[in-house]
Amino acid sequence: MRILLIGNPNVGKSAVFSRLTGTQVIISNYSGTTVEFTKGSTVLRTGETREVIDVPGTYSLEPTCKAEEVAVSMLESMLDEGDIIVNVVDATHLERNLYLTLQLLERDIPVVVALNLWDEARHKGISIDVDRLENILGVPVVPTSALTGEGIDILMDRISGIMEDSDPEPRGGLDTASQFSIEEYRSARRFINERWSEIGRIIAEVQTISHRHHTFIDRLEDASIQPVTGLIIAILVMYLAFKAVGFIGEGLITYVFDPVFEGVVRPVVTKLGVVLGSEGFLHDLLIGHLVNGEVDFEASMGLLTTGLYVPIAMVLPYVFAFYVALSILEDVGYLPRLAVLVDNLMHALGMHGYAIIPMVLGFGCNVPAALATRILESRREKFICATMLSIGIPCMAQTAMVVGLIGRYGWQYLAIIYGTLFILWLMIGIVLNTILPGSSPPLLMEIPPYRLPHPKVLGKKVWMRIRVFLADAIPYVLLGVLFVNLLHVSGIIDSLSRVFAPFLTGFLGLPSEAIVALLMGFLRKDVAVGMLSPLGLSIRQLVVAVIVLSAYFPCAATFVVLLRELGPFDMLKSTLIMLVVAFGAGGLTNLVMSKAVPVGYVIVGLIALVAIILLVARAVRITRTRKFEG
Amino acid sequence: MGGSAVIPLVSVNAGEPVRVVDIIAGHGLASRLEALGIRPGTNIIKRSEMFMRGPVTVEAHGTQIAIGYGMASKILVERIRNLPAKSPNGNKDA
Repeated sequence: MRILLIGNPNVGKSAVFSRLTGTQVIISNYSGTTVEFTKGSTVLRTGETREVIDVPGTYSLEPTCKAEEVAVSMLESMLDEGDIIVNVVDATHLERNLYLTLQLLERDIPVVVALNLWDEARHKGISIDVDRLENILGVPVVPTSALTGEGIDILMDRISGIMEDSDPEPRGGLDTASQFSIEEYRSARRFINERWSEIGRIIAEVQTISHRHHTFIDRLEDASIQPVTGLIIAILVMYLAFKAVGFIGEGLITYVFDPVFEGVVRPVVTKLGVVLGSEGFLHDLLIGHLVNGEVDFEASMGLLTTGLYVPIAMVLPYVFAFYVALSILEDVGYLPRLAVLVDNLMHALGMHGYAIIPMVLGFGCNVPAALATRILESRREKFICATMLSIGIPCMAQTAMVVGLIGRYGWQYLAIIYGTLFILWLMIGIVLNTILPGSSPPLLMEIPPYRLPHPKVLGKKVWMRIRVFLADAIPYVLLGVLFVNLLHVSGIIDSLSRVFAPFLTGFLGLPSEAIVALLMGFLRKDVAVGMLSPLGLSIRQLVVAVIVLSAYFPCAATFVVLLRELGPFDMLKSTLIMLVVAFGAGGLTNLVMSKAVPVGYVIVGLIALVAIILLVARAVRITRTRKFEG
Repeated sequence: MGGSAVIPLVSVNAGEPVRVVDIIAGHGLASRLEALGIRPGTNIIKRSEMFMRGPVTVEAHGTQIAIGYGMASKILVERIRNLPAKSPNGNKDA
């Protein structure tokens, strides 16, 4: 006896879920935000508790693409006797949404229709005769606006009503199947046509639309998908987002977190340090090594100093700022438009435009980005996307540390790091797209209307993401700091340093102690970057180390998700690519920055390398086709 | 307008209302478009087209849908001058 929420993508299933269960889930204004089944529970009017399941969106029960296939097959395997379906319908697009509704009604499952986005429909001048629709469909129809909570109580009443009925009426008046003979039934094509004409009849009866004039939002929607104005808007949006993140992040650090750490935490840890005798294992573990007789929050490496300062005062402000900016873009509905704009570029990299969404998410955290690769169609696309993501997209936690550590040397070094990562990102895409068999699937997606973000919903979403960050980051960071201290005390670091010294020093130009940071990078990138701080590296060494750290391996949390999404074999291939690319890029950067090789040579060399790979791949493909034809 | 010519969606100008006549594609593509509400007989308006054979955006039943260029060239349409009075919502006065 469960409640399953089913509906087209981006109709607000997750918002309804959130209202019914009180569980907070991420909701956005674009298709594919929910890629997994989310479970929660709700208390019926009778006082009984029932499980509620938020199913990823689908346009049809006959899946038409990979993402829908997953949703439908999961749905088929889940549906049990006695379950009820809440079909969440977008009232502003009733006609298209009814297709799925009719398919659901053809099955023997009790259905309640939630006519969601009711406020928006009203606003758009769309009026729907709910009673008439209820009569035609023969199932309860409840207008709702899940974001504001309107109608949710009535929806709950109707759900409870059906669930109370021990033997609920399987279906109501509409009986599409019985209107046709069996022979006609067999002709699937005809059946689908019938479904659409049925929908046409229903719409004609229940829906009236009053004339609406062009609004400013309409114009903005149009402008953001036209080639020229679209690009201008995209550049403007990205610039503003970037500026806002920098402004909020820096502001929080300077005016909130640094004063708190200097004014409150420093006196406490300094006193504690004296109490602990200013040396010894416990002192080093909790307070760390003193720099010039004082605690250095960035470099001391104690649990209570660096272990708290890194996640809270250096990373959190930027993570918060990023999620505010990202959440606004998501809720406005901008990201799918960006996908349209970059579709051509992404095809050159082996994916369609929608792949830009995991990439953008990745700048916040690679874990949700790795999950979001599910919205991509093929295994090939997922593989390319995951590899590009792991190599070229550093998460906000890492970026915050990089900015903190390297920003003081000048923006040009940040430009070298991010420019190099971007070039790697492009190269990986181009090369993989050429050498992997198959081609990129075409783009086909719904573009949501622009919506003004709901401040409360937005705030909740940012808070959820921050909570996830804090819950994940702080334990990992503390664990990492502890781990490094143990390695130091046990002397393992020294022997590891000796083993890797030729490689690190000879090839990357790094001191052998940098092995600590590289080890830490498997666990968490922000701490790993932080560990470069006490090593006293030159700016060249810092740049090389950061590039290698960004690209060579995903952090532990991302690795686990990618392993599940790609499978062990593809993950192994992807990891090998990461290692080769990261150390290759690190070695080259070292050569260029130490002026051993002019940068022009490297650029020409890389272009030549890519050209050779492209030519060879093409030659191989031509020979294969010839063989096939001959 | 009589004797309307059948042309692929990609050669239609932005802002022009058209009616889908045929989709020359396999079952997979046709059913994906159908699920989004684009099928023979549907009135749509082309909203934009990216340069260099980028995706075409159309409006059908008040929803905007981005369609890859290759797919869009398989959608055959005819021009319609006057939309019927009962037009799909969101259709603009052309």
